[in-house]
Amino acid sequence: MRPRVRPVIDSLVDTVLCAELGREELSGERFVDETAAMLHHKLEHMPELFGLGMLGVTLAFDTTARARGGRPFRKQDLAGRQRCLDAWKRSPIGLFRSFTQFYEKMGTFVYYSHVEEADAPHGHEVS
Amino acid sequence: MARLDCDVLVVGSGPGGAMTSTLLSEAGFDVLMVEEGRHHSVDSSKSYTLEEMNQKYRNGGLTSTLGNVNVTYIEGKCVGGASEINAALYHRPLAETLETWRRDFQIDDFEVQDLMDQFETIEGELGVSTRPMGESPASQLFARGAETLGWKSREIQRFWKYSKTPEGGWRSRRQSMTETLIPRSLAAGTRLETGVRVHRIHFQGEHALYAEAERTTEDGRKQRLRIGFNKLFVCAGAVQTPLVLRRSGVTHGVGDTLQMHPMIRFAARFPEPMNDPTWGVPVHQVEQFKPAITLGCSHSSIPHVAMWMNRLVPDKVARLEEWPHLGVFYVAVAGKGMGKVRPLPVFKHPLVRHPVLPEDLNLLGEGLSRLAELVFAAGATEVYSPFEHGETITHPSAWDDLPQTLPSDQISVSTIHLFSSLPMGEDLARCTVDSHGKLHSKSNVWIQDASVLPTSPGVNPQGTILTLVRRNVQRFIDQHTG
Repeated sequence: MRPRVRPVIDSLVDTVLCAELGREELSGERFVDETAAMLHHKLEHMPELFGLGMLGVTLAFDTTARARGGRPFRKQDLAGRQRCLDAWKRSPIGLFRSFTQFYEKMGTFVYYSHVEEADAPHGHEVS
Repeated sequence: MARLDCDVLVVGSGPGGAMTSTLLSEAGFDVLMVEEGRHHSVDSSKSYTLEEMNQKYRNGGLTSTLGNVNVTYIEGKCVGGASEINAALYHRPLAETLETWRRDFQIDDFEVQDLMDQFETIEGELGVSTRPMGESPASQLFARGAETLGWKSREIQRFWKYSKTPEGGWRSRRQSMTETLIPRSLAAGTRLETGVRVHRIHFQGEHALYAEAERTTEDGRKQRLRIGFNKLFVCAGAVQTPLVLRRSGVTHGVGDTLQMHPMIRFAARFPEPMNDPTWGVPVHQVEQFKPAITLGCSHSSIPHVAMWMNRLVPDKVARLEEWPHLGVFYVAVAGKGMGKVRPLPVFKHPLVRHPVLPEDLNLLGEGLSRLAELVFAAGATEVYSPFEHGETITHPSAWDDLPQTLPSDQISVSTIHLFSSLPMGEDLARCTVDSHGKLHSKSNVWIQDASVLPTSPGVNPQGTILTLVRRNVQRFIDQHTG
């Protein structure tokens, strides 16, 4: 299951960061691959119930996107992927909303963590 | 299977375990303390960063309850436990709260004045202080907002030590367990084993005999352990302690009353810079609505600010480029919901179910409304909605109705304060452990961590945990030494 899920995570991170940065595509953008790798790592280290559930839901999200765009999520263009993500984000089903929230919030946090570390490493906290 | 033996086994090295092992070792007991995480120095990673989450948080910080609103909770998994990763804020609880605990849970020898003496000892021993160089700009803004509204607020003391540098600047250090009690405990003779997870305890009738555990070496090798002891102190925190007990067949009242301080954050923008990485977490809180509602400033590095700005924030990237103008603020409430901790077959991690009650949601809504009022009074020009589909607001009146209309399906709730999963006292209908932490149903097992707090202390709980554990362990020593 894990090798199959990685391309879906890559596509999710790409979609989330395009929206976050207001971009149409992210070629050449720093830290996109690192963000996807870290989210994959996070999923693998979640409590089993959530980690396995999230892996399953990620695959289900990819597959069910066919109904909306005729292709799996990972193979749709950016506009199609954003429509799929928005649909789940507004879903009455809490699990679907939690799924989008995880990728959006953690994706944003991890991406900016890499940016911060590279661009503006913290000074020593004096508080 | 490898064997370890000791007189006293302490499971967990957070504030409860560190205090327990220190006092017992100093009293001459043969103490073995086991900790599932590793021993990292307090400055081995920067606070509130991804690096720290991966290094010191259980499951990298991705633990959550299940319920009507899922609450992300954080547990330390390292020597020193939560004291290594929290804001180190120190409070005494209100005397009324302690009196209510004594009365409602029938706690013996629980006089408020005696406890206050214990608090004073903790403050002296561990180093509790305010900032000698004055409050950070974010705290000053927060204080200004509270003052404008006529609300009581103050700088909160922390477990923190400050010293002057030869150049006239300040050097500071968090007084976490790895800086204070753990070295003291080790110096007194405690043996510390890291990478050891206790799975279950084996009993013969009312008597605990040995613990079954697994040691994971630094290079990932696993080794099964059997740890023999005469007396057992379980200090693994409000989730892990009931998990170990339930796995061991001790179930009556165990992990049935888990409580927490649910918290919601939002980011706001100010015309003037108020955020600087070298200032660390602001420590000002509004006292006006405690213990039900606490309002405060949060850590506000770029990743945190970005995470709390939703997709509807106009020109988010441009706003983040002006990051020193942005801050994160929080509302935390003394939740009344009671959750359950249950082991799952096969899985290592528990299922934690917890309801956020309608009255708790109302309090969160009221708190958000008041917090917005405060930050606008402090000069904020924009408050970024914490709701998934919420628009940025520019006036506090936009949230006047929040106590009644909080969109619970659009909020992200988190907590670092978990407690009360095995409340202490003599009321057998409510209390799993006695007035000094001993399991009612067992002869040689004591619980000394956040689990034994009867209910929410209404303030950051670390000081209360340390104080109760100190009181309880001193009683144990009095009873078990010549």
